[in-house]
Amino acid sequence: MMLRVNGQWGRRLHLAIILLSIAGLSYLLWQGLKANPNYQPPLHKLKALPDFSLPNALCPEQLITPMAWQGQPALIHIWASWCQSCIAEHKMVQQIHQAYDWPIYGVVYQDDMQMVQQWLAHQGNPYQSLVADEQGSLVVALGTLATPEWLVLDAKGVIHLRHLGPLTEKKFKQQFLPLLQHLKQEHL
Amino acid sequence: MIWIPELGHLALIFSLYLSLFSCGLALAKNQLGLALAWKLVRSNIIGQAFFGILSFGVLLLAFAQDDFSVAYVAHNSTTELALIYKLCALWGGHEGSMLLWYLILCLWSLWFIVKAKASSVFNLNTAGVLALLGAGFSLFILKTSNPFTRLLPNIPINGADLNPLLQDPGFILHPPILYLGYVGFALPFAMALAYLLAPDNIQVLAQKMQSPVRWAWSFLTLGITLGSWWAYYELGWGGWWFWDPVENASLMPWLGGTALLHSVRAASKRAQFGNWLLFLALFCFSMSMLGTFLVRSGILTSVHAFAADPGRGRFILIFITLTVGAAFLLYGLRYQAMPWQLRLFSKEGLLVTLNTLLVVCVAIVLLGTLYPMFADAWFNQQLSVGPPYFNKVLIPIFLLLMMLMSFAPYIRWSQDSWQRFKRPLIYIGGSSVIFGGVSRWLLPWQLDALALFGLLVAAILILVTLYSLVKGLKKFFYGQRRFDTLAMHCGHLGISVLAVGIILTSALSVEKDVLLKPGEATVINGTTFKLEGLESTWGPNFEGVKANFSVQRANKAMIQLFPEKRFYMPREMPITETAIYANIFMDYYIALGEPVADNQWSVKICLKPFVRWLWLGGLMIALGGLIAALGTRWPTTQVIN
Repeated sequence: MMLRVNGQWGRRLHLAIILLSIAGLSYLLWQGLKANPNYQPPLHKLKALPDFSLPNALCPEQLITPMAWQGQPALIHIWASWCQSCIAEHKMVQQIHQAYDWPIYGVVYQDDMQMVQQWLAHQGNPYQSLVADEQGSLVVALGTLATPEWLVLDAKGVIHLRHLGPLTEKKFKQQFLPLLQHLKQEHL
Repeated sequence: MIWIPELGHLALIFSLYLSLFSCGLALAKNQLGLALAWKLVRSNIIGQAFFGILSFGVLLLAFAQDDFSVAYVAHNSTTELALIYKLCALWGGHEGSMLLWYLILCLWSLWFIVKAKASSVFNLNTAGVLALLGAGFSLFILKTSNPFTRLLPNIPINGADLNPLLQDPGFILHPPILYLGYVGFALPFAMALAYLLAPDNIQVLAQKMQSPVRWAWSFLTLGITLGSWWAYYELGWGGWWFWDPVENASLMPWLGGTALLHSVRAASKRAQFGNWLLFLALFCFSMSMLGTFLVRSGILTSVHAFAADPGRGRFILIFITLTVGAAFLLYGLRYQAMPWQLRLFSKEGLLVTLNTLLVVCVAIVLLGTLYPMFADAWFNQQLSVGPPYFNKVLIPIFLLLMMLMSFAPYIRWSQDSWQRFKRPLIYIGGSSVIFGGVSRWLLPWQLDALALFGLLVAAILILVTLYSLVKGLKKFFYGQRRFDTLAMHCGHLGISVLAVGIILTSALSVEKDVLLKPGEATVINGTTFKLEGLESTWGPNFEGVKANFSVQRANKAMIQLFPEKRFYMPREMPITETAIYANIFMDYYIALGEPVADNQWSVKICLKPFVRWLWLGGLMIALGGLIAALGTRWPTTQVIN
């Protein structure tokens, strides 16, 4: 019933595994103490949206498909109410919504939709539409690592930019706005 | 007098030197002779503990006397604070917490010295390792986080106040008890290392470890339970476990400790468990130290986070890597694999399964805890892994563990047969199927399949354990004093009560955010919550608003609840004081939010059924540990060298 490695080599193997994991963990933690401020996961090639059909978080009877996100360049915000950074980010999302008229589509990841509805009712709803991804299928298909995450879509629903973590105003103005405007020009 | 805090500083330095001296003595035992070396180490450790306590006492005195010339006091206390909170403010920040850590390590070392009377290589080595740990941590305090740093000659007139979240009875007990558990695992760690330096009879080692492991584990359980209860009513979120990195840092040693707790007893009966015993003893304290690093280095963002300082992080990381690395290197070189005919369906087989599952759980929690940190460090992004990950991965394992718990205690050593369990299994299986079928009409609640299954597993465990507990108690009073059996059943019963609490609270809690004006009411599940009025309230260092709610339940007496919103002046921090009416089946929970418009307040109202069962379960588990610890005698045999 158990995998057993015997003798001298077994011992060496065990020792090597244990010591390597200690060394590896220490190295990672050491790296963790220094921070590299500018890393973003590379988006090697443009990726089309996956196909999906998921309920609207605010009225579950209505289904949302990728069609709903097309027509003009847009922002996708993947978040959840249990995610502290997402909650902290909400004011920023509101500001973007009020200051610019780019549509923001939300994807709520593995959440209690009642909580989400309450939260938005209280704090205001900046989203054009909100997809309830309770199983996480869309989030996995999008290749999202963790919440929050931002995507920039062109009018045909192709992902042009991926941003991990909370969005800052600086980042939005420097990277997101020019890209959105460029995509709009291209579309026209 | 102005020099008194320096006394504490000096005492800590003495304590460091004495612990270094103990290490040297343990190394030089062959030159000095065992008896002399032991005598010297004993007096050294007593001295180390004395100066540790003195240093702690001096800092305590500085807090009691509002000596703001000590920077740490000035940052964490204020003249208006009640005396008890002034004293507890000692562990309200990083430096003081580390001093508390060190004090508790000193106390455990002292405990070991008192228990282990005679001189032996094993005792000397254990004391040496404990002293080494003491030296590392006292050096850490002195070098990077000295609580005795002064603000001279410009002494502040008043302090910055203790973080208002911490001004609560929960804060008096939670940290010391948690640390007693956390640091207590240093003893099994030291003993395992001492054994590896001079291996002998592993079963005697297991007997020696029994007492410290049980005490430490019980304190840790109690500390975690207290912490969860405190978070529930003080943080104002109505949750009881957030998968916060710091909570995980205490959960990992607990899971490892649970495996150790079982392995210690198993190894005292079967020498083949020796490797698990040594591995888990090293593993457990490594997790304690990793937890300390995660919390103290400021590497994580969390409700518990203290000021970040990479210097501290580096020091403690190097220290931990060296200690843990050396310990596991020794383990890898010295452990002896024993021939073992292991059958899955035997007590040994199930204990190995238990250990494996628990170590896997630790790995899962570790991964979930560290992943956001790496993301933060490398991508500079604050990400959340969050409850969905932990719940999805851990719940099946916990259910499996509970199923094991309902028959593993009754299985025989070496070999057993399914035949013996056939009848009970048929009864349990049959009644489970029936229960599952009629549960829809039997239970007053709508539950999903997973919750129902969990409830069923917990119910079986409760019934089986209650039956054996009653039998065990009967024997106990007729003179067959088997503390261990009693303790085990008590602990397992606690687990099942905890499980029932978790399942029902998660499934049935109702939370509602409403806007209310005085005179208005809201109805939730047949209970009316009416805001009768608002009045102002104040204390020595805060002012605020107190709301008066009347809660009218169906066919029951009216309850009055007074939630508050306080504003603590020195730190300009608003704090929610929740009001809870609790009974064994239901909590009525009100937290005051923010004033929205003219006299209108946002209010969070929760109905939390069975939430008390969580802490009741936790207490029962801790009680089980304490019964076992009280029933353990320190072995007098000195077989080891």
